[in-house]
Amino acid sequence: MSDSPAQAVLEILARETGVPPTKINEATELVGDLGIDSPRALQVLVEIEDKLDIEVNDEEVANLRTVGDILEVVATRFPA
Amino acid sequence: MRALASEGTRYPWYVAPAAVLVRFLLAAVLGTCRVVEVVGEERLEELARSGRAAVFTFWHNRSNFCGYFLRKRWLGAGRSLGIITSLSQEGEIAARTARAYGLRVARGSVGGGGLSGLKALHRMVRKDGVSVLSVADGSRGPVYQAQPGVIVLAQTAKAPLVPLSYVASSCWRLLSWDRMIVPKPFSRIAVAIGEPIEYPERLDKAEQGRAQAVLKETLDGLTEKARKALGL
Repeated sequence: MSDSPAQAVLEILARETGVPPTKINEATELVGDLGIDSPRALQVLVEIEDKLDIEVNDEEVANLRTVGDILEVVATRFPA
Repeated sequence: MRALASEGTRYPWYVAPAAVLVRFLLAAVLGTCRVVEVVGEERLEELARSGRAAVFTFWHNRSNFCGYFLRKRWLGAGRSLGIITSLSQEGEIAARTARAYGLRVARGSVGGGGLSGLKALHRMVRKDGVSVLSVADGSRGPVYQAQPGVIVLAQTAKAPLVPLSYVASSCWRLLSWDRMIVPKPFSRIAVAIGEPIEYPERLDKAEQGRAQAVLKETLDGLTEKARKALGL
């Protein structure tokens, strides 16, 4: 069970890519480091949206480069 | 990953008349063709009765008449239809043409790292209930090789993937990467519509590869059915 939205994101990324969560951090690049192509990125994004019941808009989608970018978007939906 | 076109994007003056010219050419060329047989037409009717949005797919080089056919048979029957076009000038011409025909248009790239385009199509299908057109071999090919994008789109949108193809009794082949097929005016056309494909919520890499192979076989088989229906 995920403790936080950020942890849920990392778990989904780890499961979809096979990369251990401990090796994923904010600077990890989606394409360069995790090898995520656009179809896989869609899968990841939809899974995150469904899990956290959020929607990522077009502008945010276009700017996703790193894991940190995803976490930043998610953080805006769950302000501390 | 490319950004979606903003409302303020400006295109050269000739884009607007070019879009009008394209509509004229479509009417002059495709509008004179006669659909003599639709193999699997009942599948469109069943789909319409189900009320579900679908992802229609075909090879890139058959996109012109497949799109034209669905505009007539799907959109023309009061159902919604959407596409994505690139941010290029050609994409703008396609977007204007599609809008003039009543299609819903999203702008972005599906090929070449185009998450934005895929996401826009996904939203149309899953959130808005709009059926969409998406080429199986992508916007850059290789020709006749099914890419994962269209499968993942249908899978994540929880929508049926509906393959279709067509054959014209007489056609031109353009010198594009996919040797785009343009039916000659007054050609006879046979369209073949395949069984809607439903994908499970998750596909591992091997299953994804098999799904792409099956889609290729299906589309090639539909082309063959259309060819036989024309007696060629």
